Amino acid sequence: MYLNTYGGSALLHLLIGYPRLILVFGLAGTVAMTTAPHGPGRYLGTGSYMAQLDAAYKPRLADAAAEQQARQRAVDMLERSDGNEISEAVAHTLRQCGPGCTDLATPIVIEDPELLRHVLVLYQLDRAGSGVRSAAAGLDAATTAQQ
Amino acid sequence: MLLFARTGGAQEVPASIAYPGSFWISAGEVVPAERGNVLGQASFEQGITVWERGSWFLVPHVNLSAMADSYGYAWNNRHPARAAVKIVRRLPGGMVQAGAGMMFEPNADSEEQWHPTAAVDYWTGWAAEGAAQHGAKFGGYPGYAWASSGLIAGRDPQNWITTAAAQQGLVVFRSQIFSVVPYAGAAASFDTKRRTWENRVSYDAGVKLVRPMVGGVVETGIAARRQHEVLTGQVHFAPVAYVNLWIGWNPRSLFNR
Repeated sequence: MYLNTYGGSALLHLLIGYPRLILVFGLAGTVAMTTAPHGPGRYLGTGSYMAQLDAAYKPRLADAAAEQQARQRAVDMLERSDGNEISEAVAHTLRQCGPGCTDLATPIVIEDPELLRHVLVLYQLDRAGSGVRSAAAGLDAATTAQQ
Repeated sequence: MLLFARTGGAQEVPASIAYPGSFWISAGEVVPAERGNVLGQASFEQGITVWERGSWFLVPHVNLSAMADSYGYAWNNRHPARAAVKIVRRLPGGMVQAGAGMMFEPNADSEEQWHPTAAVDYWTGWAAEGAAQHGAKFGGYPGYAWASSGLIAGRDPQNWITTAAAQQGLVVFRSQIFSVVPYAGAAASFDTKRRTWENRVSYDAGVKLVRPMVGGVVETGIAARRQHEVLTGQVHFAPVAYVNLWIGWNPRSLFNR
């Protein structure tokens, strides 16, 4: 048996590419869906599975608006430059990513401006996701009732 | 098989089926008791996840292995195949699994080719790069520990073999292409039939180059290895050199909704 203990940030970089899935399922939910029996991390096939999942859902206006809002909120956080706020957001995101992101730590992310921006977007998407999921559930229920 | 799952909103996770597998190769002069003998091993495993819940997976799988050495020793030249079912529990940073099935491997003593096989395995690994960032002197403290116990040798089908190993490294240099990792490690194996070659303890001090990739890692290294044969009391000491490659996959296919 020989498993990888390096390159654990690959999963995080994959999550960054699928903002709609984060909105729909949340960070922890999306990570859970990619779980493999080998151990934590990203494996061959994880990316294509997420692409399939992303394609399986019809675009919703609520998602697009929430995604745009999350990106703006991430920019706002960077402009405020509140160290505690940013640290807590990064730590939250890494916790949600779980064992697949164990080789990343808050200081590593904060010292990389590009990665930090992506992680803050993920954080905001995750936060917005619960609201969007609730709103979408309500909208679907209303649509079903009208039909 | 992952069936539809509610996620707290209107969306559901489409049903899918996963096909976890892995492939690894290990080659090198790694046995101090067999100086000059280059040993090569390769193993391919392909499974299908027929049930999963949270961190639990039930995976029927087939495994094909091959090993050969430059001296032509019988115990190093084998081609076992296995069909088995394992239950896997993922843990933070690792996993534990238990499995059982049948192994196909010619056995000269009994002329039987099919043997029951069963094993319990534990593996955990860490990179510990976060802690390293505070001092920023080293790029991480990668390591692993694993243990395996079971009926795993078709040539010796009633022999219950237990092996365990641990390694701790230190990333002293990291580039976009590879990391340089000095390390110390130890490995031990024991069995119920008291075979000389299955009762060994070895200690390593070495350095390796590690190249991670999506889904796997390739590494090459050299080490000073001290190997103690528990039953004979013999001690061998030799430099070893090796190349290892491990790659894993877990593609999923969605069912049409």
